[in-house]
Amino acid sequence: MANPTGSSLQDVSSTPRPAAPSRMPGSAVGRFGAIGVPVLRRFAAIDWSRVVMGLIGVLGIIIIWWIAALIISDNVILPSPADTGRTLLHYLSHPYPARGDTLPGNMAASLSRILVGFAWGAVAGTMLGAIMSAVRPLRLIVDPLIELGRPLPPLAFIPLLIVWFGIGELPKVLLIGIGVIPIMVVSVVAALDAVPEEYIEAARSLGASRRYALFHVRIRAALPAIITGLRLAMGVSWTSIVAVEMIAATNGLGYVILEASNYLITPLIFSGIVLIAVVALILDALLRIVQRLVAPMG
Amino acid sequence: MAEVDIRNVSKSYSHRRGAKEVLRNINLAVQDGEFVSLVGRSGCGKTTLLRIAGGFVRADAGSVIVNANQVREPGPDRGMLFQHPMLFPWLTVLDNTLFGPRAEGTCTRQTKERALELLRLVGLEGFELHFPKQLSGGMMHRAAFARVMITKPKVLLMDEPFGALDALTRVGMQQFLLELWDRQRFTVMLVTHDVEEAVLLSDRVAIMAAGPGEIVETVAIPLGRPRTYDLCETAEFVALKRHVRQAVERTRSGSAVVGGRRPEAAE
Repeated sequence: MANPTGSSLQDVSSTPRPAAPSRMPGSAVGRFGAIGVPVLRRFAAIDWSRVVMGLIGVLGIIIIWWIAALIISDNVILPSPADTGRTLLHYLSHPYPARGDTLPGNMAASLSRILVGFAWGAVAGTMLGAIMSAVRPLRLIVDPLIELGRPLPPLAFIPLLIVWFGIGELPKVLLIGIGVIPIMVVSVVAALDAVPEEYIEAARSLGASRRYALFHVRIRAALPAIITGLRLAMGVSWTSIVAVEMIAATNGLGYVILEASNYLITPLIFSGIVLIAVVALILDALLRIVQRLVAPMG
Repeated sequence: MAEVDIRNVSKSYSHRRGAKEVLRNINLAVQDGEFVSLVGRSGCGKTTLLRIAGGFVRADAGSVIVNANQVREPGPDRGMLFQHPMLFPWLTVLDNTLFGPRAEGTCTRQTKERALELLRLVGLEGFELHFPKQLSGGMMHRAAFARVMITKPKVLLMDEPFGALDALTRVGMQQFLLELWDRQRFTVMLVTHDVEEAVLLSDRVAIMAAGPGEIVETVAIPLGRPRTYDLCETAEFVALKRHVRQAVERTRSGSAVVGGRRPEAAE
């Protein structure tokens, strides 16, 4: 069919912004093979000015830290970035404490606790939130419980969990989950509630079954906001794990930081903090990549 | 036989202080290939009637028959167009268009060819791989047309589809709809409070009154086709428009309109 709408229609309903090139050579049907193109376009949109400004901020903090360290010139109170870097490099291959593990080993211990605790907490919280969003009576019952429990810092449960489960891996993993669940419940309920009912109606009148509309529209539309919840929960996971490792652990970054503080090895404290920041940043970056994949042009 | 047959439809909504009768004994038959508009003040129940036909709301009494089947739930035989295009933002224009066939599991290579053809028909050639956010308001509405037309609905149900557009884009969309309808002659039920839009597009205009909602008059629009927007300046058009406007003005204003909130949209 030759373009029968004519040019007048396009003239009237305002021309689009000149967007990324979508007109590709070759036959129209050939385009179906080109799923890679929109995927690539999602990642092509790196905002370099943001990257540069972010780097300026980080560099600024390091410079201020360095100047302060020079003025104070006391390695125990405030080691310089160079001292910290040297210590960090040293303990990458040397154990601390002497009979303990290297920094990467301790990092792996913390990370595995985080991943297990975060995973079960996220799954449980997401499912609970999804069911609450769908079943109103359940929501009315669980909502007050969540609201009661949410202001409690997960750390308040540490003594209890130690009494109940000792100082093994179980209480640590449980504690992370306890911190993650309310965040996920609140954000999943909010995310699902925020999906406009007209999306579901549009899908249903296009022939989607209730089930198809639930999975391909309601849940799909809520995904970006759910991932925001995951990112918040990931932050809380680190708070929980470092705290519990300081109280009841014989390895992990929290334990290393506390030990280093007991022996006044301040550069190692800083090294631990820097490592936590870097690992947390990487985990958040991974979640952001997922978020970008599910929310193209978002 | 009529394509859409609305028989004795009544509907009330219960509130804490008793029930409010929204529709009382509505009868309306829309013939195959006929374009019928429902006009009336806010709160006259016209949207509720459309939503009953769409299968989103259940009537208390009476029935809606579409293509010899009684309406019980939403379905692809009744394409729905809303005030906002409601394109899925995570899908490209092409994937949005293919949503219906994919949901029904009937998407073949031919369907995809048809989707591309429809997108060309609505003037979106070259935008198949764009995301909705990259389109202008009018283009999004045209994409929504392609998406709904691919399931070959028996009737298009439109709920003030151009109500949120700026005046110029709105005229463009009306023109677009006239051209599209001339080419395909699908059956349409359009809800609007814009008298000019109703007269310009329709074969018949049903005027509804509020409290309880009823159809008080049905006006035939015997203007020739194909029509263009220029028709609005002819004496014949102006006379019809005046007639419809005065009929709407004679109706009681919706008793439930409080603080500008439309009760039919509130549920």
